[in-house]
Amino acid sequence: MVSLGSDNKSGMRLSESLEDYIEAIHKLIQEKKVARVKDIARLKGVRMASVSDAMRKLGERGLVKYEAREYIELTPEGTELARKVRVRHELLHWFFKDLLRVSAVNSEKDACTVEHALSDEGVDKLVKLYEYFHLHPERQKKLLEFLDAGSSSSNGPYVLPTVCTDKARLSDLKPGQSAKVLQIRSKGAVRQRLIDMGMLPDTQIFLERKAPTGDPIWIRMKGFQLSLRLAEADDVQVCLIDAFKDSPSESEA
Amino acid sequence: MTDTYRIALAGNPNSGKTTVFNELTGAKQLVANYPGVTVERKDGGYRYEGAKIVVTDLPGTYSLTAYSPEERIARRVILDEKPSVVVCIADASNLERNLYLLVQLMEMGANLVLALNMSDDAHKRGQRLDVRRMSELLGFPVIETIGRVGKGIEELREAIHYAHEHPVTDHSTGSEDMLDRFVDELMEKLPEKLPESAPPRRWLALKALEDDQEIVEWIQRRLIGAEDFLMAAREVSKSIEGLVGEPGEVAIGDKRYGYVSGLIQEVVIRRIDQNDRTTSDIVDRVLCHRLLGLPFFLASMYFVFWLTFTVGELPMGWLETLFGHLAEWIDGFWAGSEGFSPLRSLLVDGIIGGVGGVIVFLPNIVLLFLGIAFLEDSGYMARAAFLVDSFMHKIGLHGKSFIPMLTGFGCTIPGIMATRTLESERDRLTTILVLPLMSCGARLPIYMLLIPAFFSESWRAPVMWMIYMIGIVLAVVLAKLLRSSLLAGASTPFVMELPPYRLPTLKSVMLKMWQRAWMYLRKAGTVILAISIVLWALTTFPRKDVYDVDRLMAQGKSIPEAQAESMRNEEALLHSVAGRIGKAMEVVISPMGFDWRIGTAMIGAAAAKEVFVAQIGIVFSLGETDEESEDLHSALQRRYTPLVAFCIMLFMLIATPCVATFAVTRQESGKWKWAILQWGGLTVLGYFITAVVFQVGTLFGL
Repeated sequence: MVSLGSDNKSGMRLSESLEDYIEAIHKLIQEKKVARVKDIARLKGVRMASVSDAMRKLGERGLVKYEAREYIELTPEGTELARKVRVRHELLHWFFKDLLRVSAVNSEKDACTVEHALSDEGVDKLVKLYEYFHLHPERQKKLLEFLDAGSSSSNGPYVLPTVCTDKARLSDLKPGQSAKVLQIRSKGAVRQRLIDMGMLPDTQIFLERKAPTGDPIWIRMKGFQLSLRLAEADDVQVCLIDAFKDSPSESEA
Repeated sequence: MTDTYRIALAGNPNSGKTTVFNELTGAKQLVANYPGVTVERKDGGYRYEGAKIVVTDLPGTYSLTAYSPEERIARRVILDEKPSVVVCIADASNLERNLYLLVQLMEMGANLVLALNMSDDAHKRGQRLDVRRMSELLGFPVIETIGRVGKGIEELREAIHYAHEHPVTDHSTGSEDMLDRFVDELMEKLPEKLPESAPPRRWLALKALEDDQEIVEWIQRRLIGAEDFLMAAREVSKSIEGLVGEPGEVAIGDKRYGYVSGLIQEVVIRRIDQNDRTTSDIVDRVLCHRLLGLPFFLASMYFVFWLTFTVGELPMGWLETLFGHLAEWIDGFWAGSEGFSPLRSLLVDGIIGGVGGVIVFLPNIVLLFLGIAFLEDSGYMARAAFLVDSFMHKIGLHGKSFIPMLTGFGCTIPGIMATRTLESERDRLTTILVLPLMSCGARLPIYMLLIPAFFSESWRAPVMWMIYMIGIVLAVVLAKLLRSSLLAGASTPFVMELPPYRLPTLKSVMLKMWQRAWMYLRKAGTVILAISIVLWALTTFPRKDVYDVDRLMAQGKSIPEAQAESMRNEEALLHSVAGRIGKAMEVVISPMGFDWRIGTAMIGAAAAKEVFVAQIGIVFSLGETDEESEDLHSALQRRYTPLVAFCIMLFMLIATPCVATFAVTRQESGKWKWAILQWGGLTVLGYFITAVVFQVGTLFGL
């Protein structure tokens, strides 16, 4: 398996805040194609001077290409590190949320806190523990039953989730495919309507059919049926369910 | 001592709310509009143990946000009118989403009763609920109802009365978690003393977190230190986003659904198997099939028109006979008297000829509305919107515009009113402006008169279909033009529920049909009666004393009496006010193949389309004598070709929207400009198209 510790070439671990910077740059590049000092400062809520300072440090380690007043680019090493940080973050999130059944709000908080506090070894061991339950769903069920005794916050059958390896837009789904909602990026009225209909993160969606021209689409969720246009479905990030099924064998390989 | 109190019914669309309302109140309903806005308000009432209960049927909503007028109205009624009890009607087979609205009603501090409607459906699909436990957990009555057959209604009345006498307004919505602490924190930032009319504190805090525009404005207007509070709300929302990675409204939605799913977990003994395909799903596989869907949709429309046309002919004949006998009976009072009697002429030619000629078409109208009500209540209408949205979207409209447009086939007025469901002003205006092209029920009498008179049996349905299709195509082209010129802009969301098919109940279809037929009759009884009398006067006066024909005959010219009579009629009409106006118009309308008679009839049709029939009746039966009375059909056949008949229908379809359309367009758009543009634009377009069709048709010898 891939080691998820964030050691780079020099073998030294980055400080918490530098890791956060790498994550922020990666996020900006993915969303806006470019990362500028100004944007990073706004995203992290710090002064631009602090950002420049951090960029210089990262530059020295060969993780970013940075010259004053220019766009910031991640080096291949930087990109690799950013990916690892992200995967580790998501795994920890899943660990708390789905394995330990910590509420959505708290699991995110816990993942944030633990991610930087643990040693690489500690993270790797947690990941192993997660994989163990992943490979033995019946034992995970027992664990959950144990954890749930005395609390009533669980809902539905215990589906074993993993980190999503097959992200897509809702509009990419084909008739007969299922997916889970990851994020709603829509704005305004569409966003509120989708939330009110219960299209929240983790909701399972099945694509029933498409209209004669392929647009709008007809989905089934939470026991009812809904239609929406492709343009609206574009803004809903989902994870294909088939990807969930495939992922155990992938992580074994 | 009699107790009087108000209650309100809230619920999702398609939860059977209206059926429960009908069952609670009987057919006695008051339908009006909410002041200032254009959402329909329905009130009714009943008595229970001596108490008088006034029921308001709130608009069907999924939520209570500020995004749609319906949701704003629903929550405003609850907050401002403070009904003693709010009954939440929930579809028992779709608990999760339906209870989401309940949670919001709980947040508002409403005194609640929950009705689990269509509980038989849920039961059939395998769901078993512990209703008593549910009521214990919620802290207010929960009743299972089957609105369709009136089951559980008496228990619902009892529960409402109980809730009225034992109000509970302080609800807990789930276990304390981080979000609650944030909301509590924000609540403390609210001023100590709120205005008297203020909503509950907690709800204000929640809505401020959701960044609800209407509530934010209210806070700015009414609260001291509003800016500080709103600033605090933005900060709290940011902290939530920092922790969950999603803004406040997602966390709040998540929390509400979390509460609902916890509640369901507690009370559901057996769940509906979601993988089970219902009959409805199987039907959809055929009706909404990618290839079969559209043909089926077109066929179903064709069927509705066939029903209207072919089946409607029978009762129409009965009514015609009835009015014929009525006219004869009244005529009998003047038996033996010589000369012209204005009263006899007014009764027989003006009133019976005019209003009777319109009422005769009632069976057609009723059948058309029956078809539309069936499509609506069965759930097929939403499928139709799904199937055609991409076409509507291409012309810049919303699939939902399709429903007002389909309603426009009944009558343009409710069609225009139905555009209220559209969220965007631009979509609404475009839909309103092209709506008169959806051939309404009032044009139907014109087609019903002309098509059988000029076309052979096998051609009737196709010609009718063609007229309707021309209207649709023109509307599409025009909408496209409007959306890319005068009303350019982005299109609105299309997130629409597709409810399971349900067999419409006879009661609700009948009620709907009756309400619409009544509207038509009332129009016939008032507006059309008045217009008929005016038109009768216009076509009767001034009277001609000496006819040219008689003078010619006196000079020794031999003219057969039948021909002479018809010439006299023509002279009399030409001499009248209407004839003079029609004659003056002849120059203008002749390129469309119309003569002064058609022009005269169209003067009335400008006020209301169906008057065309009444007036053409008067035009051709003026001064008729009993032994020589002609059938209107053959009178028309003698004078015009099928091409002219087709042109009349075409012009009546496109041009001169009726007075009511003009008034409603003005009212709904808020500006004279749009009403004038609609009327003028369509009239010019109609004139141009009809003239081209007539000229080309003549060229080909049609």
